[in-house]
Amino acid sequence: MNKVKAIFIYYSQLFVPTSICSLVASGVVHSYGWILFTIAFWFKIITTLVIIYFNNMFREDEIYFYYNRGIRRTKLFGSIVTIDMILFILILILFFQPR
Amino acid sequence: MGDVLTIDSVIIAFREKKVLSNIFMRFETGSITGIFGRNGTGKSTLMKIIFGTLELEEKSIRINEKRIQTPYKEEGIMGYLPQDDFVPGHIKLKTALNIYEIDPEELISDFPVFNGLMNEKMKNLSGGEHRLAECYMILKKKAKFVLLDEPFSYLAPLQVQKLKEIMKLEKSNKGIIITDHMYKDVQEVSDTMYLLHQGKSHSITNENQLIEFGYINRK
Repeated sequence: MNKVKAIFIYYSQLFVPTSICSLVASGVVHSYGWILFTIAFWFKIITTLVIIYFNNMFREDEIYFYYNRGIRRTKLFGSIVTIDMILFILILILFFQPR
Repeated sequence: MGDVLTIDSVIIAFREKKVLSNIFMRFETGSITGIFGRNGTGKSTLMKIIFGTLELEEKSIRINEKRIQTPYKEEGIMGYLPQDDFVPGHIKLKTALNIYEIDPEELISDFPVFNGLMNEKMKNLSGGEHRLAECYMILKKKAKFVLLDEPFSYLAPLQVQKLKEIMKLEKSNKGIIITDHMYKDVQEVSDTMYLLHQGKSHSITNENQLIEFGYINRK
């Protein structure tokens, strides 16, 4: 359970920029239709990876907080991308809710 | 019977200069090992190699003669205190302790300075408090070996004294590997000592050897 908490601690650092990207991507799909979903999906994946890259670069030593809990880099970053994509899909669903 | 961690056959060079080339070290649970060396002799590099985050083609790390490539990936094997702050600044002290399964009351009982600071964010703690909390988290971690890179930095003398007492208690269930320029303190707690000099490790048994290798001056 503490490992899951640790992963969410990492995600909380990225929450604002990744959420902005999710809103932009969802807005594009909402405005121009599902035909742009593939582009929006890849935009999300790429921007999340870029945000993780820069976060990791500027907070290099913080990775040891996770390593010391036995959380590998691949597991950490893989979990972050998964959480972020779930949130993106939820935002997308909210965008398409009938008013 | 305790566990034995052995490292040898390490070769690492930066800009064609060999930093570490002839290393043989042996660490045991139940003991504290001090590693000395001037700046740039590869102490921190060696710690990262032992922890497994600095991966080399040429190295041999064994625990009880069983080869292990990246110790940090295996639960309960190793803990590592890096030189710089590693706990994210935006989380509260009590959250950090909780993640590492450490009782906040235990920390307060050992270091009363933390009384009333549990709800403070890590970034709001002083440099010394931050370092002390991190060092405590690693020292108390459930692991066979812990690596402490400059644990005494920013600490007040009384805190250093208390930390040394905790190290002596903690060594009963783990091996502690420590490097710090406060060599007197390291020497006081260490059961075995090594010095890194010109890429090689030398076993040290007394202070005179530190003088001979030019690590400290003759009094």
